[in-house]
Amino acid sequence: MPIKFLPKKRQISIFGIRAVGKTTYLVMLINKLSKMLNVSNMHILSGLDYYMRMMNWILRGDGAPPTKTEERLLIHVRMKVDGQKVEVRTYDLAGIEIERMGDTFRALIDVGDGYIFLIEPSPDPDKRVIQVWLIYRFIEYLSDSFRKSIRKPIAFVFTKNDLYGIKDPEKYFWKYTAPVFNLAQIFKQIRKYNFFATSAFGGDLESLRAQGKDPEPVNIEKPFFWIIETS
Amino acid sequence: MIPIDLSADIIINQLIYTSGRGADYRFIAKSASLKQSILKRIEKLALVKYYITPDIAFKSALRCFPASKGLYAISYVTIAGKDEYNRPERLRAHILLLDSKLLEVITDFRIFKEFFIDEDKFGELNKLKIKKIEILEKSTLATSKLLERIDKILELFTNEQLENLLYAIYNAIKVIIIPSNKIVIDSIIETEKISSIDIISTISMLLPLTVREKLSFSSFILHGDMENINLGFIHERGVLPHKKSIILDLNSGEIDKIGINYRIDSFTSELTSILLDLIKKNRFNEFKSIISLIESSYSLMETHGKKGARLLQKIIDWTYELVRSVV
Repeated sequence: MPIKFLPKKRQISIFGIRAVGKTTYLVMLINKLSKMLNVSNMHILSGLDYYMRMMNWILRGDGAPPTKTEERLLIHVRMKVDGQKVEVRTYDLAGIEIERMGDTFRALIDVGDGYIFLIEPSPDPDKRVIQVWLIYRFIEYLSDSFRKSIRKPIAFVFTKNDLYGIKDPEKYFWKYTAPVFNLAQIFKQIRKYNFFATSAFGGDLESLRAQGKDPEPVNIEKPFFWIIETS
Repeated sequence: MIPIDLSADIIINQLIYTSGRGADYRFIAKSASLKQSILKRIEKLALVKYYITPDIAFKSALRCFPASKGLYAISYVTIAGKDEYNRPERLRAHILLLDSKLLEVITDFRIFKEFFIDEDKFGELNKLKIKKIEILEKSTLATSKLLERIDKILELFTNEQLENLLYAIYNAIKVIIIPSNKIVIDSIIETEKISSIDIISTISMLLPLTVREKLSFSSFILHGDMENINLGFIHERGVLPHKKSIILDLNSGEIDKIGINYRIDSFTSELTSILLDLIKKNRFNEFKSIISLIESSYSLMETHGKKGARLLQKIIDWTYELVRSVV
């Protein structure tokens, strides 16, 4: 009898403040995975319509619209990565629901087997402070107020890197966050974390469209594969 | 009943809910501070759920729902353009909060159209002050317009669909209507064609106040499962529901029960039949009497429980005997 390998099922939750690019990241990740040579038999089991609607805007050069409060959008994908079956569920929520850190924020943490935390390295002080604050609260919740260590992997991912040009994301993470608070104080709680810098479109969407080019994500799949491997 | 002093003003609170200018979807303007529970409820229901893609010619929608006990919300939804991040499809809801008792005289919420706001306004809004007589006049006119077309509007449904529709509304089952191309759903502006809001207003006339106070509906929807309402018209690019609901297809006359099974009770069946018969014969006063009889029965049961039920039974017996003896 042939041996059947059960698929590796993973729930990956995506976090980040308003307009950081959560929806764009999610949609362009699916887009990128669908074009990768080591990914086969990719089926969107849930969220195909949502994905296509987002692509409609993206290909028009508009980008994804803001997610509304109280909308919990799920994308459920099954695929083979290097021949191994993988099933992934990801959720998309309005940034404000994450920033409020209420029930939805906690539910999203509770269901996750791994986390992608998106950060826009914006110089805007408001954004900088709220992002550091959110990371702090996120770790605080995951570690049960710093009493436990966190076993689930967390990828800290800089977005819009076509704009910011970050070469060493780990170094930049500390450089970006330390003026607000030295997060190293609480990172001891996390067993597995990593840093990435990505660009969902590989350039400014409107300019790409004007040049007749299609968006081409850069490094968007890296945090995803890292979580699949380590979770 | 609406109080007798018709010269007095009716005060209506209003709010605007949208995103942009530094934050996500939130209340950007209000005429009063309201309880958190009311704001939460409005936040959940005020906007059309899911995404209105550029290939959909959406102009406006009307969504109505109870905001709390005694307070009914009317949400006028329009496209608000891009936000400061250049993100498209920002929606805006202008919400009016009415005393539910006003529903006794209002069936068509377009009577407020001159007050609807379709631009961003920040900060404090004035409360609306409208004379009771003005509301009464506008509502009477709107109702008579609907009555002129009631035959045509109800003909869009098969009798079986109407029975199911009333049954579902009475039993709080979600109804999703697939409109035919004779029906306009992407705008609440009156046209020669019949619109979803014409249909909703007409159906409202078939319902007693107690049911209408609890009814939530949307003239336009895109996602059957995401919408937590009793009645909605789904766009052809929308996503049909997979969870507990019924779908009425006005093109084919079909009724699709999703995750639910029921048989229409004799009350709903006979009620639909009598109402349709009276409408056909233009006997609108009798039609109104039936609705008000149901309303009075509700009210009697609510206030007096079993005692009220016994009295109702006695009223029926007594009336029956009286009519029989006269005949």
